[in-house]
Amino acid sequence: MYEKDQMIDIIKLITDIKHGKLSSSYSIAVRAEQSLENLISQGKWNTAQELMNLIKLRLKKIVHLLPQEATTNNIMRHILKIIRDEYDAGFKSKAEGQQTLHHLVTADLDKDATDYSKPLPSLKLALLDHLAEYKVELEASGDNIASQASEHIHSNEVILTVGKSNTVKKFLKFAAKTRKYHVIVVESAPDYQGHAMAASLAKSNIQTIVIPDSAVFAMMSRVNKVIIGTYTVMANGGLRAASGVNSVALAAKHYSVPVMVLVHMYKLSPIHACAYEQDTFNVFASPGDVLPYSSGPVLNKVHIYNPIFDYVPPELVTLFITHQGGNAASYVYRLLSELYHPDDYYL
Amino acid sequence: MSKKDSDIGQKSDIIQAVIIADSFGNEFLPLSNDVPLMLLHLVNKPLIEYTLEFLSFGGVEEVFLFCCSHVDAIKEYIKNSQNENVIWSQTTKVNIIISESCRSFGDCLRDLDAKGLLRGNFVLCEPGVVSNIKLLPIIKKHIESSAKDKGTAMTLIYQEAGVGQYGRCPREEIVLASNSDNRVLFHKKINYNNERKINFPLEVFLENNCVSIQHNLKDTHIAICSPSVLPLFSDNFDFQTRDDFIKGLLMNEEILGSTVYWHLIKGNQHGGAITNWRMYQALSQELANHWFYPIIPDVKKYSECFGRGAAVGHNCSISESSNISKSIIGNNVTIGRNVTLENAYIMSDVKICNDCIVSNSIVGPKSILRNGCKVTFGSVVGANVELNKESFIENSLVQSKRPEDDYDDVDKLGERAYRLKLVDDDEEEDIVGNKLARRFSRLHLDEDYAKSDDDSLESSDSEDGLSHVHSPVPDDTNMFFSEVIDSLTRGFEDKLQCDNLILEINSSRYAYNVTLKEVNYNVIKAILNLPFQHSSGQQYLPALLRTLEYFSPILKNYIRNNDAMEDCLQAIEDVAASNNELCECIAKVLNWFYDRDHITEEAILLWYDKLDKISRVNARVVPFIKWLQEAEEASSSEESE
Amino acid sequence: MLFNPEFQAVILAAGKGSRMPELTAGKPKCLLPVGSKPLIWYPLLKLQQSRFTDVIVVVFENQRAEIQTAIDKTDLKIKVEYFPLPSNEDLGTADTLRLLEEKLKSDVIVMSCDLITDINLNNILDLFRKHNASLCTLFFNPQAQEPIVVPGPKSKHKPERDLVGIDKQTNRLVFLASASDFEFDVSLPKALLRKHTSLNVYSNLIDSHLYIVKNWIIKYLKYDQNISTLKGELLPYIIKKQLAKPQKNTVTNTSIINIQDSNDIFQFAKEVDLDILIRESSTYTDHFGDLKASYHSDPIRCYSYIADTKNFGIRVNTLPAYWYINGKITDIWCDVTNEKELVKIDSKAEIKSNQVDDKCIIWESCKLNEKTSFKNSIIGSNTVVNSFSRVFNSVVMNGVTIKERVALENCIVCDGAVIESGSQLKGCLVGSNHTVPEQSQHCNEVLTKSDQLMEF
Repeated sequence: MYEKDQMIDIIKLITDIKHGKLSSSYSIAVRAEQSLENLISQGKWNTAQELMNLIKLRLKKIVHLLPQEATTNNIMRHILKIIRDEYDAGFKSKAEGQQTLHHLVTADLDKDATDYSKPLPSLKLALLDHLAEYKVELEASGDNIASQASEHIHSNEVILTVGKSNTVKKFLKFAAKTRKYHVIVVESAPDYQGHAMAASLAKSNIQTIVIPDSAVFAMMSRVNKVIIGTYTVMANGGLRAASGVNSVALAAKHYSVPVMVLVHMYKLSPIHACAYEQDTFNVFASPGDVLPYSSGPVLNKVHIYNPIFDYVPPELVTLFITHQGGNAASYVYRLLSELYHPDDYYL
Repeated sequence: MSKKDSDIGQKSDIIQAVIIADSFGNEFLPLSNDVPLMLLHLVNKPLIEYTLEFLSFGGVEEVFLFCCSHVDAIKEYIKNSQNENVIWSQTTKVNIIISESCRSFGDCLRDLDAKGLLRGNFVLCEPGVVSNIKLLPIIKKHIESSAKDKGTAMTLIYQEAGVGQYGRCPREEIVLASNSDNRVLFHKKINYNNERKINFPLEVFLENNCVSIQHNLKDTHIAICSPSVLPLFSDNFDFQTRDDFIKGLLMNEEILGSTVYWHLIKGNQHGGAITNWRMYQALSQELANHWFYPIIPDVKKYSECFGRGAAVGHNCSISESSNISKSIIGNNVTIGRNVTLENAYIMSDVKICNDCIVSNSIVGPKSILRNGCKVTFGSVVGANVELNKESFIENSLVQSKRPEDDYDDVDKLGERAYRLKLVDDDEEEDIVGNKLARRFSRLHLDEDYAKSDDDSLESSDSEDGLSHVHSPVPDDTNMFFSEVIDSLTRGFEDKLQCDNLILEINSSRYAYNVTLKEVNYNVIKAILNLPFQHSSGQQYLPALLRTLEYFSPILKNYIRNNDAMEDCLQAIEDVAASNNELCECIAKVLNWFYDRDHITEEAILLWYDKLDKISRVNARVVPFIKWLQEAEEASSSEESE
Repeated sequence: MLFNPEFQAVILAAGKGSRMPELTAGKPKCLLPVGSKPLIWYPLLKLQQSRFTDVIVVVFENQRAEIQTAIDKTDLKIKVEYFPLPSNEDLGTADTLRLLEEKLKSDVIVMSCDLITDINLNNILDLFRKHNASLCTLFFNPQAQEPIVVPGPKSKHKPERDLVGIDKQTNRLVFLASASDFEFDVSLPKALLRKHTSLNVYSNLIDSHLYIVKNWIIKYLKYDQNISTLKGELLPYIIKKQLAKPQKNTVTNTSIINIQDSNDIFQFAKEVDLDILIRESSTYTDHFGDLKASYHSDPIRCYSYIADTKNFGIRVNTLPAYWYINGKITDIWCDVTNEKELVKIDSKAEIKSNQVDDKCIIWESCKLNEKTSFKNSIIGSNTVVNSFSRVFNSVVMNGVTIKERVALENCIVCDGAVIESGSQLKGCLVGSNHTVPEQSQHCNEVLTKSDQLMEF
């Protein structure tokens, strides 16, 4: 009973995501972080192990109900890593100081499987501190990414972007303060979010052009850079992005146009997934967006797929821009090891 | 979002909804005996889940679930769900209202009115609603139109759907006429009867400048109701269904002062209700194809391993050699080797043994189909049924318990399998309509149903009377034939002019789209058959000769070339083959035709060559042919001189 | 002619004007003055401005000379061919077309002589061409009518209402009937609703009686002698036939069939094979929602053009309409005539009066003496107005003599009338060649010789 009560916050989170009340990844991230913070400060747990179990329960629930929602999972995994780190830091500070190289090499991995069930009274406070820092980092990450805009965008350049992304918007608007350049926005059917993006950019006095998805290849030769956002970054450096981004990336490859992906740290996912099994990789939305229901008996004869996500292989991505700077796609695995503990990759 | 909430919040605190859980009919036999409609599994989840998810998605905060039967099962289910903190339970409170004495939709609403639980506008869902419509904008629009028109009672929600689509139930086709404010002026359900015309009251057109008539609508069975709806139901005891309500309101607009509006949902919003098995099938497919996004089914879809469109639940064990296409399989299902499932809906906990075929059918939960069973053609196998080996079920309903009344041993298919007889309790004048209706409430077997009805509707509307193609093609010649006989009989008795008779025959020919060959054939056949019509006691041959004599202008008209002669001879042969009298005198008949130069020697000889030598006809004809040949030789020998 | 023109125009000017008998007793309806020109000038101008070079005007034999003179006097360049009808026969509009059958070699645009509009005819012609329609009609939205005082006795004018059914998706005209055809119920065939699932039925549109018909319809008229009026019989018949399907001809060998059977309307309405081939090869479809071919493969297609609410269109066939248009003509002159100059006062008029306001229109050879006053009136040719008379808000036709001290207000005075001195007429209709005795005072009456009224 008691545990079930505690899951309510997660259920509420899932409900809000499903009902569309939390629309952007950022708001989901903030909310997830908030609920975990509540859990840590008010939850009933004594040892690190218990806390981790609670979090893992929630993680399982979300994976079960919202399999493609990666942001919350990534944040929870990161917090698990924070817990482990704090735990280790808490205990190790009592132990010997430096670890020699010899020590590191000869350390037996098995024995090192730390037992997290030793109670550590300062853990809670340490965690909350760390989480507060993390929260600040989260809130600032958008601005941090945007502040790198001037390095990447130069005057009189033509930038191409796809659909709507708040991160990209901030990025472009920041650069527009000091540079004058053009932006081409791909309208991104069937939801045409590119229109809203273009309107918003135009308000900041950026020269914007909207093009349909079919015109991407034709325009690509004139584009200097492609700057996009994404939903998730997979463990191999591939992207799970909005539908249509793969064609843009392929066209960019053809014309050797650099593709830059703006990612927050909570979008990096430790899961290897790719397009071979669309049933698990992708979510299919209503076919009514593609072929309206009023089309009549032709619907009895066709199968209509309206995928939300697209897989972009890592070869097509030139640069990942995180709040710490730019990284190549092949460097993603390193970032992952900093963010998550390998034991938390798969549940 | 929150601003809209507060707007609506001012008028009526929270949004309430009413779901009527029973359909009060026997549409879902035999499963409805054991399982309430709300708990019927649609793609592996009970129906009530979808309805509640839709309502919670739409922003409804309080739901009244009105149950009349199987109340305990529903109650337990809701309690379990709330304990497990399912998604909808966070935002929506469910109250179950029980009333065992209600017999119809109207009764339920009257009961609700008496209980006085609803305040303000509410959402009314008929049983079996599945949808993903965003309710808040529609409720807002309803409130706006209430502000403009005080008598607004209900806003119906419809979706645009083309004719012939699976999801459009032929039993629920409606014609709706409305004005530019979307107020309903005329509403009629075309229950697939044979009426060719639809009558609109003239005032509807004269009072409104522009009336929009729609026949492309699909009912979502969801309506937004004003507080005045429940008292209206209480005041009028003859309102049994929602359609009665609408009809009553439209007819008595001045008296009741209430109006009905409608709303068309656009974009990717989708809605429908399970009202019969056919809609079950259509909605299952739509749900499995994500039409109701973000309400998605809880299945694993295997599009590569099995055929297209197979959705499989959890914990199933399916052998590799089975062939599954377009089917939906529940949880915990075991499927043996060599099983073919096509357009089949298998519910949970079913065991299908080897070599079975299930096509276009539904198998209820916990049933067992032993080896080699064939369940086809729109059958519904109930819960807990066990079919013996090699049973063949076609177009029937099978239930596990023995039916109380009216059952023969023939219908017993096994210890736990009894075929249910469909008793048509309600007498309707046009039995055809009822049969069709019943047919259409069953599973949709193939598209030709829809198409053939379309064609018959289309072609049978030219009021000149020239085309009355009700019956399919092979019957046309029969009808033509009988009409020709009628014309000729009449002509002979009334001594009509042959030219007029030719005209009649020609017009019949065009009516039935008969080929020239058949015309010739049938005309001769008719003439030969004529003496049988009215001669009793008279000798056949004299009567025939008289008839032939009288109709010789007609014969001359129709028998003009070799092909026609061939047809004529064929006709004579056929009639003779089945007719003794003609057989006897066939030679004389042929002679008559030859004398009058209707048929030439060559044609006769050609025909004779093809004639079957063993038949009786042949025997009779031989002397004539001999004579003919001798005469020919004689005449040719004369000419050669 | 080396080739057939795309369209041929026919103006029907042989109407008896039975809805305004007082005015049409002495004068053909098409010559009633509206503004500074006779009524028939407006449709002729419209055709001329739409690049028609020839037009056939159907007139009564005995009115022909008069009409010809009047039209020749105007500055129209379009070549008019007059087709006389015997005056005693009562022919319907379709009967008239039937008589013209030999002259009509291409698609025909049939107009009535009483249509005044500012619409661009090319819009309707384009609609006809675009869908290769069999029939195209033009409807106007009702004009905002200000209440006006019509001269003559007050009469209940019940406007005729048509029910026009148009498919929302394809704009095809699928239903046309007069509201008076039905008593209680309007019945629509179910097949119609299944085919055109979404219709708009309008009940307030004004039919312009401008029809564009394909040539085969004329030939069909010749075949079917029963049809006598266009609007009443031919149009509903053709519109109804859109729903039917041509019967499949399976036999083509020896025809022993009677000629009568083979000629139903679909024999006439055969489409050119190349057109069918083109349509089937292209992916164009004019409607969605079912799996049928474009246009449902109908050989007969009827379309309707509903003019914009800003457009002006009126049929001058009733007294209120006539009165209304005369009041409005100066306002809408530019739109209707496409910026032609309005000559308000003809150069050949002799005007000695100095109280002629600028809303008056004076035709040629008028004599307006001194001390007369005119406000918002139309004075026809050869009219003499003597001193101390005043004419307000009236229409005075040709050859009228108005003696001294006459006060005319809101009146219509027909040709050749004489109004003796001292008369005061308010809201009256003076019939042609009628003399109003001296000092008469009349209000809202029709003053005419009784034998000149039409007999019914």
